[in-house]
Amino acid sequence: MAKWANPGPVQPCSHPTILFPMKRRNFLKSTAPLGLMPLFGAGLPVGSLATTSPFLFNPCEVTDRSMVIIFLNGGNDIFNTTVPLDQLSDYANIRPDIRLPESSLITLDSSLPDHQQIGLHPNLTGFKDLYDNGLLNIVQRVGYEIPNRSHFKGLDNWLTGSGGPELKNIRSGWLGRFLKDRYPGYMGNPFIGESDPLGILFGSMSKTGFHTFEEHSYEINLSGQDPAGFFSLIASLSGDPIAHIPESEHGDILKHITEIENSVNVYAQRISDTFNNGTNSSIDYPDTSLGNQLKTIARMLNGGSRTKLFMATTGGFDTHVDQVEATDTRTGAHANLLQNVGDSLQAFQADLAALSLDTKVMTVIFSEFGRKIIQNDSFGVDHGTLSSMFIIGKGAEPGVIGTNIDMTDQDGPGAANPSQLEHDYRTVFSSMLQGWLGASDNSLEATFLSSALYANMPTLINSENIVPPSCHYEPEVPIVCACVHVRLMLEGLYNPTAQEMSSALKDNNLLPKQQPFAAAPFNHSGLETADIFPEDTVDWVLLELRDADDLSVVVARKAVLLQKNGFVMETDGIPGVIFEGVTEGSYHIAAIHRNHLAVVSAEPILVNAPSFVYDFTQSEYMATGKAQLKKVGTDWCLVAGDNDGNNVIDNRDFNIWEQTDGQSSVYHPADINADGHVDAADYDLWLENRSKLGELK
Amino acid sequence: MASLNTRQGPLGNRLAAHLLRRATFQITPSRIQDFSGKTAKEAVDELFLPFTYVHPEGPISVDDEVTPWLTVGPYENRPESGGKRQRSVQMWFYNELMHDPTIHHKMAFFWHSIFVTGSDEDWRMFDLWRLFQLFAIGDVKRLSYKVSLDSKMSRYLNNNVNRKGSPNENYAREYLELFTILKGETVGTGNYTNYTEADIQEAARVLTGFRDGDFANKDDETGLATGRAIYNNHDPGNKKFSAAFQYRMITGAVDEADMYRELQDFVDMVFEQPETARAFVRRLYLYFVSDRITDEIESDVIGPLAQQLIADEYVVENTVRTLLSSMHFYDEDDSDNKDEIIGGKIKPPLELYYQSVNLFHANQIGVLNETPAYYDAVAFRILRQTLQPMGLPEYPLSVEGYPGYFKSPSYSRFWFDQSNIALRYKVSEAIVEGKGISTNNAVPFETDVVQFFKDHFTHQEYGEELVRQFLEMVFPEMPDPGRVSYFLEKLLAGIGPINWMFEWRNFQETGDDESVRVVLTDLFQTVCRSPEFNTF
Repeated sequence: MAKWANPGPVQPCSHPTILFPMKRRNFLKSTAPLGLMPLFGAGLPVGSLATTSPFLFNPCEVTDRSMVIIFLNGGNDIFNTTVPLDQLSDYANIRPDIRLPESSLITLDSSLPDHQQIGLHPNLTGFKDLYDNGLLNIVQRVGYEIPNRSHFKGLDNWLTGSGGPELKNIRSGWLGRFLKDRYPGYMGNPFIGESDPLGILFGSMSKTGFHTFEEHSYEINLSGQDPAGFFSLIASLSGDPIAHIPESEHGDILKHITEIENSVNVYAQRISDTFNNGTNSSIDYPDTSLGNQLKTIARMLNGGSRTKLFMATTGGFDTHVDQVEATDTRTGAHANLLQNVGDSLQAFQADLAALSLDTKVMTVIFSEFGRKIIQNDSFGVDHGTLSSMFIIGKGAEPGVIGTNIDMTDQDGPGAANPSQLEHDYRTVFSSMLQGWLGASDNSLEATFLSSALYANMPTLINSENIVPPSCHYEPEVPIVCACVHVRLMLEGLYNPTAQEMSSALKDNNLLPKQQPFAAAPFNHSGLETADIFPEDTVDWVLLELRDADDLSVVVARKAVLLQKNGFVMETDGIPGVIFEGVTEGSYHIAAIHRNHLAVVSAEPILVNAPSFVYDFTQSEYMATGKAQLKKVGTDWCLVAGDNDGNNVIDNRDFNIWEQTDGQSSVYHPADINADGHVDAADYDLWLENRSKLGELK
Repeated sequence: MASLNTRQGPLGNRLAAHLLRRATFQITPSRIQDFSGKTAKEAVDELFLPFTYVHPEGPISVDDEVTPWLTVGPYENRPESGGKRQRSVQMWFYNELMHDPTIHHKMAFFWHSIFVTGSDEDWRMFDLWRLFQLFAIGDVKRLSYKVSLDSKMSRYLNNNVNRKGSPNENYAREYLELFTILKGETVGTGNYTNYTEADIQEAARVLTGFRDGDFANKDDETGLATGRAIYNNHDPGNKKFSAAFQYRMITGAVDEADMYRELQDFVDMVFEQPETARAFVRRLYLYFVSDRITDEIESDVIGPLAQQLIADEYVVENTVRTLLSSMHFYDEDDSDNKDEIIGGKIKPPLELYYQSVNLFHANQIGVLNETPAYYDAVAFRILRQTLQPMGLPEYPLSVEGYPGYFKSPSYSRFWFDQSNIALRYKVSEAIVEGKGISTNNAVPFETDVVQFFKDHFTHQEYGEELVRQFLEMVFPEMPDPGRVSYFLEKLLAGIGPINWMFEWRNFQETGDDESVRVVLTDLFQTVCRSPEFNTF
């Protein structure tokens, strides 16, 4: 039997940056059930919310600001919403049957340069009024690379922050990610300073935007509900309340449970209260779905609501047919839709001003895609690409940002050529989140999962109202360290007799000091370095935490070292791996090696359980998917031969081997058994496993 | 005046269920019926009958997948299977607990909640669990002595590094503060009424030189691995205790064997204090009876039971028998037999889950008989994805124990808060669907709702009668008629009693249960997600 270098797994990761270094004695003083609530994120004691807030207040007092996001469902036709006045002849030629008469267009602002000259749809008098009062900003040429023209997928992209080559198929919503980052200890309950739900969703639209894979919800869906009567709805988590609670110890316990139920449902009561306590001014709103949603938002805000993000939606924009009346293109379905949008927003803004709330609210309008430039044969327009976003409010930097879309520059089927993209939609939302709500760069990165997306944000908030950089908040993440112990064996390196792996690479000084996953396909940018390799080091491994519900979401990754006994350790030799800045909770663990098929834990693992070891060697069921581990002797190993690390063992892996065959004293992926020599033994390993597919493929 | 006099006469369904809920995990429809005809004494006698383990040899080794744990030893120090080993031992214990018709495992868990250790995933886990089983209804003084020598405890509270010249007080402190006599009021600097800081230092001196031992180091009495005494590391001087211990002096040991005598002297001294007996009785009362200890309870219940415990030389069996047979336990020591005790506690996670499994006949298999890999997956889902999220990790998070049992002021209310309400309300769904609570992964506990209502009730076609029988079985107290109607409406689904009758008869004639299953499941879920079901 092998000797084990250290009994690591029973020790906490003894890393100096653990935030809660509680000694056993100290723990006694804590009455809180710390760590008991893996599903509730940060594990902050619920009871303490009554007396302290875990959240930092924004130092610059903008925490009472809200943002209203309006979704125009169906894909608004931007070319008949904001007609490019610099291209009127092209406009007339390309859209002979549906073009708006030049004389009917409302010139937005004659002082704008030609390439931003816009003629509003004649029904958008509301927008003209907003613009003239300095309350409207239009961002043109908005979208994302490689646009999707499906309603469902298009909206999904906009709500999840997906789109483009790098950020595909994200499953959680950016609104939820933003709130999660802003309120890292949030547990689904009201807390001091914020008694309202953080997000409220109106309309029948998908909740995707708020989805964060947490047990607690960041939003309350008011779809189809009368806010005043909302309380009874949410109570359905449990059953009806008990009408008559007996006077007894049994009754006391029932009261306790009922109080907990009520506290969980307290948002419902709060929503009813803010609605009932609030009033609208005498402004008339259009009696439409959107008008009523905005009217309700204004009333709730007047009633004291501090909800951060409202989402409203209005549909009907999928105007393939009869977008205009043939006899008078100023009328028809699209004209009515725009009339509603313009009038509703004008009324909303006037109401907010009358209620002295206009310094607290900004509105942003989007649609899931733009329509084509060319008309179809049915007096309508089909699905297209780029569009515009509208920013409305007293905080808006008034004007037009971005160039009119060039109507002659089309992609194949007559839509705006996506290469005309000027403003990724995420930069627009980022600018709002930062300029209006005070999100830091880090927060934007957490929200949109990319730092590139806030590098070129348009300025959308005027200088009077923009949150200065000194006021950008940096949320205090309650858990800064996730301590994970993982054990795995690599086929080819594993010796079933000794029950350990070969450390030939280390013994022959072949291991690179820098982590070897910088290049594609891993693209790991970490700076992990090992100046001196700990005893028994086998090789580098890339460990990842992946979302408990969505394996495609990488929450954190780190290059670490593998020991002969299968345990991973940090480059400083301390057993276990610390992922800093990770919120407490459950994650899948993915283990990636440069020439073995990567594996993902079959179950999500609580990361803040330092005494827990996830041991891939124990059975094939430890890895997600079928036959992802291979039994060698008594232990289950990662499958060898994926030389290019693309999670498929195929001829490309062979080619890499063939090109390198015969090399000695190398650190190369083709050296599958990691003995420093690329030779037939490596080929044999490849041969045995070829055609195997990894789960991450 | 609270009375410990034995309750006379047959228990009836309500009190039979009360006793079974509080004293065992094996509450089943047939046991309630069986116990309802017994007197309190007869029923309690049955709870103290000898029992047999499902797997007396302990869990199967996760390493060779064959050898019983008890004989297999320390596994060549293979730490890599530690998590699996911990789950293995824990699931084995819960499996025993679930199948034990007596009070033994309820008591073993009581000791686990008092003599707290932490997770260390090695072979010592089994030995300590087995110690709690062996002493379940036995001599707690002896148990506390054995625990003091236990390797797992020694490592957890650092007595393994408590040596002459470099004392470590951790175990000595907890032994007094949390395990035995408990901390009293602070009446002066370092004076906690029942002991002082100086007493802790002297106790630590007594304990110097005791450390963890290896697997082969067996206790002759229990056959379990135990710690070792190293005389070289022992402080041989005499130890002097404060007024709290009548200025007792304990003579320092003269050799290794004498160290055990010295430790025994110390344990005897602590247990000679009446407050130690009261401290154990209070915890028994909190565990079995009520979250509320009033002055009346102190004088009428705690005091007399402590006297009994002392008279029994700290063998707990008769004390617990007295308590569970008493008129007080059944709330019949005053004119109102519905205002106290019954339904007056929150069900702890263990009871909520395992009593549901038993009561609703959800246990499909004995999980230990499956392959170790499957068994481990199930263990993971039950321990880590069901019980732990509800607030019951395998080992308490602090040496103070699980807060829901003994910690003021919340006591059992701790088990039900915003963090676990959703999970607790998912227990019934999990049991209907045969999955864990926080994931959709399968576990082998699955109730067939239709079968359950078919097998355990009569006159099912009368909806109101069926609901009444069901509520009587699963709620500690029958709710008022308005509340019964609310649950009944789940069955009638807005149509009416005649329709239900038709549906049930149709099911009986044709065997087609699709229709009745819908509403029975709704009824079942609604009842199990109610506040009432969360009390016991």
